[in-house]
Amino acid sequence: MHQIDWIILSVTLLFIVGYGVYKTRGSKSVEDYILGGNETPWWTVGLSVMATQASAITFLSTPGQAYADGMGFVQNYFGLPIAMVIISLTFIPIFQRLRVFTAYEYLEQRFDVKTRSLAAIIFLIQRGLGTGFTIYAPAIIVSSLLGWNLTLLNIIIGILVIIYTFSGGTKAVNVTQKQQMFIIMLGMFMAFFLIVYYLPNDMTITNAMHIAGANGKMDVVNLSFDPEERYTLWSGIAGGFFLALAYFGTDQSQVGRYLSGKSIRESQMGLIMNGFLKVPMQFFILFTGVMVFVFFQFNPGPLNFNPNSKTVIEKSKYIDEYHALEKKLVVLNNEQKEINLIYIEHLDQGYDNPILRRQLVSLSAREADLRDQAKALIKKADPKAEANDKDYVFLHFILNYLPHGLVGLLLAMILSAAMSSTASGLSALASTTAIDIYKRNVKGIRSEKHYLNATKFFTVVWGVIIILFACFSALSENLIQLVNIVGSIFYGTVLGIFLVGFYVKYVRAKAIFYAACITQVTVIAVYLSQTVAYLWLNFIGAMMAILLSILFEATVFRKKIDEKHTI
Amino acid sequence: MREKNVNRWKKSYSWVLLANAAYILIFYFLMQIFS
Repeated sequence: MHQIDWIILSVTLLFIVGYGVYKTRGSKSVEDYILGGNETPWWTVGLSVMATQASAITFLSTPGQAYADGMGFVQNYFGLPIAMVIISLTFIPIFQRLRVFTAYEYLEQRFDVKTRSLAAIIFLIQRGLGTGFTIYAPAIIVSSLLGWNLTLLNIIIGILVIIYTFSGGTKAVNVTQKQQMFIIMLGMFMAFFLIVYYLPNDMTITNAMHIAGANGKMDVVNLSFDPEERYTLWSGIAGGFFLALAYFGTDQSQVGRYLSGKSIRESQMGLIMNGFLKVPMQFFILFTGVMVFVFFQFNPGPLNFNPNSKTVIEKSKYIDEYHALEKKLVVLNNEQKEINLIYIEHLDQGYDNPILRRQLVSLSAREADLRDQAKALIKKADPKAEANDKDYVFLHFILNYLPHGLVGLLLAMILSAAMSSTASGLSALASTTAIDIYKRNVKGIRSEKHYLNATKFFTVVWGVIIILFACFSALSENLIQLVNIVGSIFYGTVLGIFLVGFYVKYVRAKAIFYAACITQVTVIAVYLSQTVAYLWLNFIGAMMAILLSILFEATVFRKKIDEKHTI
Repeated sequence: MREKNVNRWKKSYSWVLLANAAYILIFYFLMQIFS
């Protein structure tokens, strides 16, 4: 990496950390530290909510997703605005009226301490793993492509986040997320405009979109009712709604963001801002990935974008076969380039040539086949190697084609995104441990200062745990899958508890607690039996918790109360 | 006054849903043009 990139990267990250510490130093109370003194304006709440969700992997994986599979992934976010409206109408007024520090505090007021502790512990397990992953996932990609030490990178990102989160709590998270979102959006816009600028002479965005469309990358909306189709309008609205409701409504890393709003109205406006901007933002990130795809129609790309795969192959007996595939890809790319240029000429004359489109589709299929053969060779060489290279496409483009200075800015963008999500997670883990576990169980009256120091202490403890998890993850194989599975196993039950709390007034503490325990055990058993895809576990968990609690309230626990009345 | 505020909020919630419906329509037309 060039010196200028190092300077831009270091100055940007150190400025964000320094600014965060300086602006938010000297929190005097737990309210200041956990709720940011309830002084956050709506647009900061909105930016903070968006920065928390958009982790580094969003900016690395999403363009790669579009490069490989097109724009269809955006449909996953179609249900999110509906969830924003429901949370604004129901969740926020309740949380704000009860003046809770964490979402789980509400559960004690609505049910009992057992239910609160159960939800808090489930959150701590799940978010602890998830936050470690928000450091590890970008670190593994960046370190692979730049040859940096993975453990050192994990530790550096972790320590930078601990410094400002420890110093200023939620206020520091919110303040730094504003800067981070600015760097993230600036980086994405600059990358987008440079990709378009690097396309062949006189090629308009419209022509680039025609090329992408001919290769099936512009299929944004899928109206199919086939349940086996991964991304459709219907699964996006229904599944996206369900996931967004669980994530924004019950995960303290998000709840903590909007609880820091100046008023109910400011918190609601922050979420509504997210509802307005999320879909276009994801569309833009995916569209950048599609433009990267068009770019590689005119420029040679590697057979596999993951540099570790190349290392695996070079050490194996399959190296000659791999080289043969590479040569075939070069010939194919030249052919693609020629046909694309003729296709553009025809487009400029107002003719969308169907024969050339068919040729492009056929070449694209042959390219995909070559890449699949390469992946198969990598797997043969080392069955444990990660042959999937989607996540590496965008960073490969950044490092190999962008000018000095911008590479530093884009790396700052990726690490800023990692830090913003990690900081929200860390702040949520510390506040949940301090408020729902420590404060709830500590005996005697303690001062405000005592709880403030305890929250700061838990920030450091969780920071160290997260760094350890990120470092330890390097030894684990399918980490993305592992974290998604852990999330899916636990999210459904917690959402079920909250939905019963808000909407089924009839159900009381005992019924929901036992329903939640049975649901959790059942969900784990269903997962172990491997009878359904793990993403369905969210839905099963929530529905089972709701239905079982209603059933228990109507039968087992109803009887006992009636008996008491009779006696 | 309170009722006015509530109405205004209901309206803004409608707008966010309408805006997203418009996004989906725009995406659909883009797909029709370029795919």
